[in-house]
Amino acid sequence: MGKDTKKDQLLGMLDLMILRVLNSEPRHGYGIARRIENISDDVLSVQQGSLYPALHRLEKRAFIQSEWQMGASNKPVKIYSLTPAGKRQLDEEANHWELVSAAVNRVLKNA
Amino acid sequence: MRRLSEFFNRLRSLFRSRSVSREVNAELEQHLEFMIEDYIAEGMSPEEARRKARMKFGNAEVHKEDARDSWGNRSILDFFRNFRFGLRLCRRFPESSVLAVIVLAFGIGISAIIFTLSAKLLDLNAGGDIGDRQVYVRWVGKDGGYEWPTPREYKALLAANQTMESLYALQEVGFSFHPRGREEEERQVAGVLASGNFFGLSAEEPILGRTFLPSDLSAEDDAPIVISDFLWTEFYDRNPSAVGSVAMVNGQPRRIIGVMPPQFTFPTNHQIWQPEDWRKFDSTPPDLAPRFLVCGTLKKGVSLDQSSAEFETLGAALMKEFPKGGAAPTAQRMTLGPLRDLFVSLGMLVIMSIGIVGAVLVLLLCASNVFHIIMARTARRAHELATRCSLGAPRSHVVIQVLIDGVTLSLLGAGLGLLLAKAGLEYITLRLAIFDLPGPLTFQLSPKVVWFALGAAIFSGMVSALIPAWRASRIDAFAALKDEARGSASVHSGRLSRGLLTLQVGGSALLLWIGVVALGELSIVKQLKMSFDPATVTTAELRLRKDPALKDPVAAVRFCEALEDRLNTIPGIRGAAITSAEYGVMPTGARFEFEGRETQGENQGGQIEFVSPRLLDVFGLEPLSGRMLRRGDNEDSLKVCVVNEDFVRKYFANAEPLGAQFTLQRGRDREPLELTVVGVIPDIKPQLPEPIAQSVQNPFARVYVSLAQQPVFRPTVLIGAVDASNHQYSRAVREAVRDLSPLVRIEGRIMTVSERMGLMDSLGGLIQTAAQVFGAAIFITAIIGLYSIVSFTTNQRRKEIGIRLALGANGWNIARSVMLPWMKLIAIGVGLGFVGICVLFGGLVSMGGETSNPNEGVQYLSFVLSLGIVWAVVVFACLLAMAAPVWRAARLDPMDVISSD
Repeated sequence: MGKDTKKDQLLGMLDLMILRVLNSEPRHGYGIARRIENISDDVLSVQQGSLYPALHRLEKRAFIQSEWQMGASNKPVKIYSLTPAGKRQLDEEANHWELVSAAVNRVLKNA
Repeated sequence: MRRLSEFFNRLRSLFRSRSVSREVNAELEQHLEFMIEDYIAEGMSPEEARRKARMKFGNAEVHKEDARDSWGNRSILDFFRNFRFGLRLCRRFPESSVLAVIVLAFGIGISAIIFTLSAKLLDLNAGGDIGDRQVYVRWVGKDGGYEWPTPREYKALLAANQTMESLYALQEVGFSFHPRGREEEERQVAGVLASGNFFGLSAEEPILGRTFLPSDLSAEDDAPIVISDFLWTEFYDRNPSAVGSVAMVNGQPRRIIGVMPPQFTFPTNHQIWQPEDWRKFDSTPPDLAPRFLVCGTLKKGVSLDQSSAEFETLGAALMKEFPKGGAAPTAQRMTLGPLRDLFVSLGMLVIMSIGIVGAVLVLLLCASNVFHIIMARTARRAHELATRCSLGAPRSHVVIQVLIDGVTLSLLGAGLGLLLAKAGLEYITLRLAIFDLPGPLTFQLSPKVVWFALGAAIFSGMVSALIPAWRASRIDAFAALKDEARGSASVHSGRLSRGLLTLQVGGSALLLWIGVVALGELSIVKQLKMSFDPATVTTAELRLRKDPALKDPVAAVRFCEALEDRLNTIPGIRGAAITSAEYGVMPTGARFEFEGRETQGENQGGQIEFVSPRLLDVFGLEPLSGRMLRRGDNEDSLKVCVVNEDFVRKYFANAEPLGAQFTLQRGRDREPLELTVVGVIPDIKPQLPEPIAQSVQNPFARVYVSLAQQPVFRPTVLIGAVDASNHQYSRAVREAVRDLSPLVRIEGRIMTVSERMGLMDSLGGLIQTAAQVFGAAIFITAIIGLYSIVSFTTNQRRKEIGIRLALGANGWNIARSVMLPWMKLIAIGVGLGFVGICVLFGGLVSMGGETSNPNEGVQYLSFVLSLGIVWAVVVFACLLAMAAPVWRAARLDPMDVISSD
């Protein structure tokens, strides 16, 4: 496994969470950040400095797509949704994460 | 599918960067708005909500920048931004930009032309896709000499070997070609007699028709041939109906069965491939059998060493089975080598190396001039760069900006240079078209050369800008902002610029001298007039050794005698003869030693020509005294010669030449010839132009020796006839040669002496033009470099010059003070150039070696004259380059300069 792949794994947690949030329904960037904070009981706080680069990275890799829609306050809002490729990626990454997190848990408990 | 979407997303972000940037800004604004709304919903006042949201949001610009960078195109966008900046700099400094672009255009253009010509030479030398696994097979003797296999040996090797996929045999031949019924279009081309499996050697497929089939070998009528794309275009205008039509090849009808693609001219610029069955030579003794190039493709997994071992064993068996005369079975061994090696000769490598070194030198020369120009530009930007540095611009930004300036200039120069190269190559192609070469010779810029030019341009730009960039990054902002003039000086490299300039002036002097000498030599060739009507003598050059049987001197003499007899039966001619003189008119040099005569210090030079007895008939002449050479003057008889009038005037002004004896020295490694004069014949020689003819006495003292006493293997056939250009004579020569030996090759086209002189004249003109263009281009770049640097340094000294003028100095004082340092450098440069010229001239003179040089006096006179011309041109051009900056300096208004400073 190369150095870059390892780095991707560490950075990939946010990507994975974004994909998971968008799997339930399309959202705008702020909505995604709030959703992650709410579900994690404010344990995880997603800053815009990391959120938007991650969203653009996923969009560039065609895992998500975006569309400008009119929001509740009648202002244009950029809404992100999952693509079929993103769905497949989510399944793969989620399985992988379960394996990794279970392994880490085992190490923390038994080492 | 995802990859495709990803690709389009990248493209969109790259080409719609402004739109992406706007979207990112809007999205982040929207994020901030949502945060504010949430805080208001939590009960905060709008102002408080906005303040808290902004605090939590942080630096919006940094987020926007990060979000834009996440699209991953920052480096590309930065490049375009910098390139635009480079273009703005060009507009800001138009004069230096134009000069830099011209200099680089010359450099790139000349290099591209040299590389295209070199690549074409290589292509001509290997007209096919020869890979690493294709090898040749041949015999090598203990003395290192080699010999190709005979047909019988080829068949045995083909049947017995296990390590080659197949073995192919081919024999190069000269063909006359024209479509049936179009005799007037007949053309000499190089062709190949090939084994039936020949086309298996290459992966190239015919673009029309087919290649050989096994049945082609036994074709009774209209034996098949495959022709090149060149012949198809030239003779058939690319009409598909050419396939199936009948063409005349060496006077025999041949059916065209296929056309090969343009890139296939294997083995070397060959245009016709004819299948040949060599079974007729099965019973021919090895010493008399034809030999041909045998090559093959190694089987997959078989190394060259493994195959070599097998063929060495097979060769040893063949030596036993087919013994070669009295040779021992171990006298020769069979060897293999990469086929590619056959087509890249040492001479070709040397030519290519010289070309490449020349191209690299030209580029470096241009880079050094662009270096001066960028130095000057950077110095003029010192104030701006200092301001940037003081505002916090990192050093890397300053370096990149100066580098980009150099690269921008280089890319513009490369564009113009490629256009120049294209025009130059078209001109060369046009000039070469008149030579009627046996194959296509068109020069076009290939994608490889274009990429090379762009790479070389970027490299030159980077190299030129490297030192200015480094110096600019170390600029003392305080000093530069306090005093612009002094700050500018801090980015100028004095010694390096001056050193490069001195070398350039020296190099230009050397190149100019080469141009002047080439011009002089060629102008002499141009002015030569023959003592006979050159339109009434036709010449054909033969290569006897192509027929193994004629490698024997006795056989070669018999062939020449038979050919002379046969040619003299052609109706309507004055006579036909055979000579060793190249092109029929250029004998070799020789040195004589006369018996009983002191030779020390005396010029004993002259020329020697080995001829058949009917030589005088060709020109309609008779011996002046004594007799002409005759058939009886052979190897066994007394070695005799006839001499011309020039020879008598030079060596027997007061003596009887008939019966005189002398020794002919023919170089270190050849035995001298003891000769007795038996006759005097009229001069058959070119007339030298005045004043050379006056200064050199009897330069064409010539001795004629019988071919029977000294056989030659590259003779020239001469046919004298009033209508010598008539097609029937060339056809008769070809038929006679073919009847006597089908393997003897006629080199090039059969043509009259006047046609040959015309071609030499054209070739001379081409070389002359090339030398002039090359020399002029280099010289112009050097002058531009000189102008740039003088202009720059004069500008640097404005304040000092202003003070001098204010103190009473006049224009002449200023001009002298500006020019003097440069004149010293120019003098050193010219001196270095003259040293180079003397070394080159010494080398050329020593290359003349022991051969006589009747023009020695003229040679040294020309040398001194050429030095004078070079000195005058270089000094005048340098003065011209300095004139404008010096003029500007001398006319400065001291009040303006001092007050503005």
